[in-house]
Amino acid sequence: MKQALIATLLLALTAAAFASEQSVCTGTNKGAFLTGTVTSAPRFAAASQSIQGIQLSHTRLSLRADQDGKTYDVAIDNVYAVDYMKNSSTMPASLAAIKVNDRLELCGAKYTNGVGIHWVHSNCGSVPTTSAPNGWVKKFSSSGSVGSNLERSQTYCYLWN
Amino acid sequence: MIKAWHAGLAALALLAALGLAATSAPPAVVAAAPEAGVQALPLRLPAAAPVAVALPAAPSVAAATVPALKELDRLVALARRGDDARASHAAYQALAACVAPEAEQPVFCRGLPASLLQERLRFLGHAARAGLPAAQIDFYMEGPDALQALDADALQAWRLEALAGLQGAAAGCEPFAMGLLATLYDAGELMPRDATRALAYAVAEGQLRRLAVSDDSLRDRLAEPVDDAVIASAREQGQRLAAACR
Repeated sequence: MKQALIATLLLALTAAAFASEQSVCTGTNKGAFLTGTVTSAPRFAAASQSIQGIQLSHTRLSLRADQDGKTYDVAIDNVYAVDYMKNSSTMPASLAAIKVNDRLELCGAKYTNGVGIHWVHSNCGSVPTTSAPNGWVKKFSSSGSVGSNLERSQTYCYLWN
Repeated sequence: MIKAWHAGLAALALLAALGLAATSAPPAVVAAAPEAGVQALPLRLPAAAPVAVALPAAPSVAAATVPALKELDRLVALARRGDDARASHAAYQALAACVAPEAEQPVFCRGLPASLLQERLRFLGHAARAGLPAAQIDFYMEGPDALQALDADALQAWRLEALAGLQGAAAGCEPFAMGLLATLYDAGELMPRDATRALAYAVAEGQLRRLAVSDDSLRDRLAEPVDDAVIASAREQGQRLAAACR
């Protein structure tokens, strides 16, 4: 009985936290909110452009969303990872550590063409808009708690300011 | 090929722009020793050379290579003398372009001995220890010498030197160094995590770049939530750091 109560309480707390995360994403941060399961491992995508000598590479993965069951292409800008290394030709370690079947929470902008989401990163303190939200990539732990934003670095925001 | 040519000209331009005057050396900033809780250190790959823009048609390989090699020889000779931090840093930058992916290497890199490419780290170390902010930043970006045994002591020594260098560059009012320190103090890569210091450097960077930095934006930079007292303390410290640059 006591265990059931604790489980119910934890579930309620998790649901409340989840609702709060969703409302911050879609409200204050002007983003599209997705949670889901990783279906393809992250892979490095070389930069197609560079700014001031900084190559804007990506990490790509697929995620099956809880909200609509669709599989989304997720494009993550490496330059916002806290462990990004300038012009590296490999993924930041924090993003490379994402594995198939991991659970992620994403806040970003959905593709206008095709099923995908990008801009899942800090917007460098600018006022968020739906096309440039204040986004994130967060990983759920096995206990169900959500981690910190893996895409929170603002070191290279000067490139756009 | 075009990219390699651009990188070559960028390196050439860099070489040509150098003067022979020795740089002044601001005092090094001594960092506190990292403690337990420092994150695992990722190894870095060499950075590509900066990419130049608006270039004329490429001359022959031989014509482009010979003057570059002569200039490189001159810089390496100066760097080996050890009394010209700018020349040491320039020699490092030119040689660093030669450890980029092959397709991006300038043509003058062909045939350079591996020992000379490795020597770039010694040149970089000299320039960074002399207090050249750009070299202090490059010292961190380059990472520890991947060819040396990376035991715990060697890594710790590298962390201390990289941190002291970045702090020196920040004290020299280099906003990029401040931004790096803001991220590193949050991530705990070189030192234990310190939210107040992370935000202090973020505030200082914002002031140097003349950007308004909101409390929400500061909170977004951190892995863990902080209370208003931490933000207030960080703002005070950051404003002091920035004020020293006026």
